[in-house]
Amino acid sequence: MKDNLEKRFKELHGQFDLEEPNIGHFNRFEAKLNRQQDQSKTIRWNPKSWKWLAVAASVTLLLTLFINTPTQEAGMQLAEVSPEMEETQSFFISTIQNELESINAQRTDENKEIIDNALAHLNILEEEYNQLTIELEHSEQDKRIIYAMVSNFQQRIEVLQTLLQQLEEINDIKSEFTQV
Amino acid sequence: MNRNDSLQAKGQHITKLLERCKNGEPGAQFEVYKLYYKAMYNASLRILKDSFEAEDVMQESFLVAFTKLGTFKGEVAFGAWLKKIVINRSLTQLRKKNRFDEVKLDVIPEKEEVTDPDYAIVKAKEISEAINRLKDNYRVALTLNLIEGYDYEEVADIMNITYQNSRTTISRAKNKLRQLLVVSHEG
Repeated sequence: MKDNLEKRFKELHGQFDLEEPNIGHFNRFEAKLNRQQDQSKTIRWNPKSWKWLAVAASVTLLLTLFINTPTQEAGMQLAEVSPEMEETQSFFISTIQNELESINAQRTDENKEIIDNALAHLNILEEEYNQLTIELEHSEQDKRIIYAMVSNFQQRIEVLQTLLQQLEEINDIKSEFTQV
Repeated sequence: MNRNDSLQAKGQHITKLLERCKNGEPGAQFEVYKLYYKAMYNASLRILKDSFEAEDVMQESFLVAFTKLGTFKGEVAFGAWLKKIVINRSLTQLRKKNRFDEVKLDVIPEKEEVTDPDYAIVKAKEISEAINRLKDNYRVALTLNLIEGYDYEEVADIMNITYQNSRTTISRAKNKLRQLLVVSHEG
């Protein structure tokens, strides 16, 4: 019997693998690999292979150090994607820099706590960004990662702008009080 | 370099990588992951229809495969061997999820007239979406047969059903899929 449906599946062979795992899967797999490495070190101690385990452990250590060091050098920067992205990144970075300077200038003992809170939030976002640069390097410029990186910059600016607004409100209230 | 040479080169590259994986080199294991994750993820996703579960099963399958590399003798391609692990683990996960929804055969025969038009313009994405609307055992059987390329007997073996059941399920699933594709094209 002629079977057009089956024929179409044959034509489309290899074209059904359309989906990508969620962003971050490379990191999650790396973490799983490292965990397994640690386990095999303690459980399956084989005199013939201990050397490999030592090598593996040091590689793991190096990798962890590499990932955990918040240098701008790790992974692939947004700026390396295209000239447009380079411009975008430098715009974001200079905006963030300016806002940080203006915040630091307003720092007092009273507002210290909100500022530190916001900066902690900023650090988390930065950490996430660094993870994304590693993802980007592995994924051959997955568009979703690029979007996530842009959105990460936007979130950082939002955090800073909210903070600036709060600082302004505090100042307003203070001046009202001094006027009364 | 002709196609055979390049295939051979690819095969040798993978064989070498796998040797290093056996020795527990994380770098080599990560390389293998990068080569195969997409095909394996999609195979799992087609069965589980959940991106988080599919990723988890896919990654665990890689880890299992690395520990079992000693049993891989190379009678089949590494990708095929790995995919079997992914599919088996995905099915186990699916059964865990649907504990009360056991795969069963329909009692009522479906004797609707189904035409078999030309599907030349139907895209892979449309077909995937239609398959996802089928009930679990139809989706799994059809995916295994038409996308992963297992024959009736292999599907029976993987799904743990009889040969006859495998044939019937696949044939009914195909008819159901034809109906869905017709509807989506008229609409």
